[in-house]
Amino acid sequence: MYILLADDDTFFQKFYQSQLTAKGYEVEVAVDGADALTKMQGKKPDLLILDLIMPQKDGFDVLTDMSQDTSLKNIPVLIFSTLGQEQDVKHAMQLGAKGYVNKSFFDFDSLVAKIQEVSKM
Amino acid sequence: MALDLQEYKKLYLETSQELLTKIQQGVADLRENPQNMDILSEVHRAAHSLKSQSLVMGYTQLGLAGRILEALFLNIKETKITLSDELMEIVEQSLTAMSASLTDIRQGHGEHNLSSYISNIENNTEIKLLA
Repeated sequence: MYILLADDDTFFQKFYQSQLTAKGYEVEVAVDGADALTKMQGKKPDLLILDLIMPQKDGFDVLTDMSQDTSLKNIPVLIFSTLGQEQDVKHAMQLGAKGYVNKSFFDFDSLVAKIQEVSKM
Repeated sequence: MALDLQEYKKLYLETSQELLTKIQQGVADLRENPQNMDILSEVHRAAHSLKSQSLVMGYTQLGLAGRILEALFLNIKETKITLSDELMEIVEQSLTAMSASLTDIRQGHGEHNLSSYISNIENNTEIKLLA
């Protein structure tokens, strides 16, 4: 499975890319929302893991742009949330995200289960 | 799956210090341009990242301090709170305490209890961390 991970945070880019790659996923990093949209115009990911607070285009912008692009709107999106983002997650789900995980409370088994669940939607 | 977070500690200490420095510089710049949206967006994102990184590494106090700064900067961006001189000083004191905590972690000690700084921000705004 090819996953595009969009997060501007260097720590989380390396943390999650290494963890997911070690488990057999092909993971590419996008450094912000604009980069994610550009990369998705090339190779289409099986799943986009999307942080919401990013420079250039934030996660909400990405979801909005994807919904208006027939080549992107069916790519499943898993939101990376953290403490205090309950309203943001609700908004993102309304914009078309399929699920969310709290990136600050690492539980690999739960993350994999969520990836499997969302990617089959 | 058990995860050895120690292998990520060096990366955390590097990136968290960069974020803290970015916030400190941004807050200093806000003294000259208190309504500058670019600066406010940058410090908001940096506080968001500092919170998230700290929590995943198990540094809860730094995570909560990052969380209240993130909420504070968002409220200032949305003009719900004005960054007064008094609040600016409280933020700068909190950042100094967070920096000292990172220094101690780097030297092999535990993180500091930052609850008094968090409470100070709560008491001077309408932000409640656990609300």
